[in-house]
Amino acid sequence: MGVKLFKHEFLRTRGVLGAIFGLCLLLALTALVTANVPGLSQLAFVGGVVATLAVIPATQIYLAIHLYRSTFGRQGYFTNAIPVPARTVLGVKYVYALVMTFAALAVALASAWVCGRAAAVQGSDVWAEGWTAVGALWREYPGQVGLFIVLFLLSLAAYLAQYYFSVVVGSEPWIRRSGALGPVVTYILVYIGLQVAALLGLVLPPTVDIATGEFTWLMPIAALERGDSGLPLWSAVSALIISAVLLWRALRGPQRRLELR
Amino acid sequence: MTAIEVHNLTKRYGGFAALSGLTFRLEEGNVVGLLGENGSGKTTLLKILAGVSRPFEGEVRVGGHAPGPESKAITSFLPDQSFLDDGLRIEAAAQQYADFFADFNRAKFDDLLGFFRLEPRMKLSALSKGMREKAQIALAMSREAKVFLLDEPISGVDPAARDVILRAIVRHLEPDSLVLLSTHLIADVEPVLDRVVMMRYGQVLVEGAVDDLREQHGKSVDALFREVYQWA
Repeated sequence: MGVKLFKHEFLRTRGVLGAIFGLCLLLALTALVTANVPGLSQLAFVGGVVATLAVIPATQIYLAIHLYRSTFGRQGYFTNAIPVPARTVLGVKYVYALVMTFAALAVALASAWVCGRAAAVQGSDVWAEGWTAVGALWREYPGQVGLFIVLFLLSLAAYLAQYYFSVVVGSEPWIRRSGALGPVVTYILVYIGLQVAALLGLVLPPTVDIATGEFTWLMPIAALERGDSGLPLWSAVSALIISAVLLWRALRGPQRRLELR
Repeated sequence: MTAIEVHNLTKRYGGFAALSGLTFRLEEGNVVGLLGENGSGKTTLLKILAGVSRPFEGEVRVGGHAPGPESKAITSFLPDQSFLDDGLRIEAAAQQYADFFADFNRAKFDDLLGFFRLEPRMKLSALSKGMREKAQIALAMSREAKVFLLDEPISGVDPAARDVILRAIVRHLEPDSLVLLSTHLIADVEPVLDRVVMMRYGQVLVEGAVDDLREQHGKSVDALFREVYQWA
């Protein structure tokens, strides 16, 4: 049944996702094609860069809207009548959204490369210089770079968990009367909560020296005053931990509370 | 065998009780009319039985199961609104049903589609309200379910279409299936009903076999409904 759910998620969303990915690549290619056209090259380049930066959040926000419409809107009468536990339906939708997020990442990287080529045509070496710098960092600090990549990928999963939590909890009876505003209000509360948690992380030890990997059991804010350059660990990981909890709560939600209009 | 058993069912929306201590039992092999005025709790009851409304207080059993995956596997629910993606063609909607419901009978569906004079290639967004209702009924009634829950299946369609829809509902019905359909249009559905449950303010007012009620009160169920709701 999981495979069928996944298949139908793809069938339902392929059109819009195809349009999002296609538009991103089209804007990047436009930047490349018009790189030698005075008056147009700058605008097209900005368009390409904006599309590159926007393709991942656009994908995730679209899939969150799709979750709301297909599970808590009128289409929810079909989705919630399927004879599988609600957490299975939501779990498959989340996994599908994660796969599409990574597909968007691939599109973003391709688009960034095309924009880099467009910049090179205009005489800028930003792409080549950027790659050189990344390569140097990788040679000197392979563990840290690897950790950064893992944290970046986990953060994409965390953003998705925050959206999914907002849709599920924002559709529960306590706020259901607000309609589509419920998930928006819930997301705002989640965002504020995450910012508060990140701020609290500034007073909770330890601090991690990114270069050496050493832990310092001082409050990060005190370490900063001392001149230590460290990463406040809890600020960095609190969003990931909280997002995992939010995802767990989202998967449990419709099993216990469900009202369709 | 008991198809639906409800005991002391209460459903609250904030401080308002849409269902209040509802208790009744329906046996398989019946077409039951769930009758009542707007706001009497008919849709709320059907949604709880279909497993798309929770939490609730009290006990509910559909085919011996509490509302959940096991009961949904034997229950076909038709809500009172369009529940499919407008961009789908009828054929694609049928494929969805076939993928998710093991008891979906393709031959029945094709027969009902022909009965309704609908083409599989038609897009749902291009259908009129009546045609869309027919397409959704064809999908819902093509399952070999033990329990069919139909919320206002003939509202908003013309009288000729109502008759066609009602004939389609009973066309392939298995002897051990239960159909529970809610409606205001009692005169139209009375010919196909075996039993009725009349509701008001979230409670059962009258319940019984149609023939028994006619004999007992000396009038049609439609006339009885008007009398009950005038004086209740």
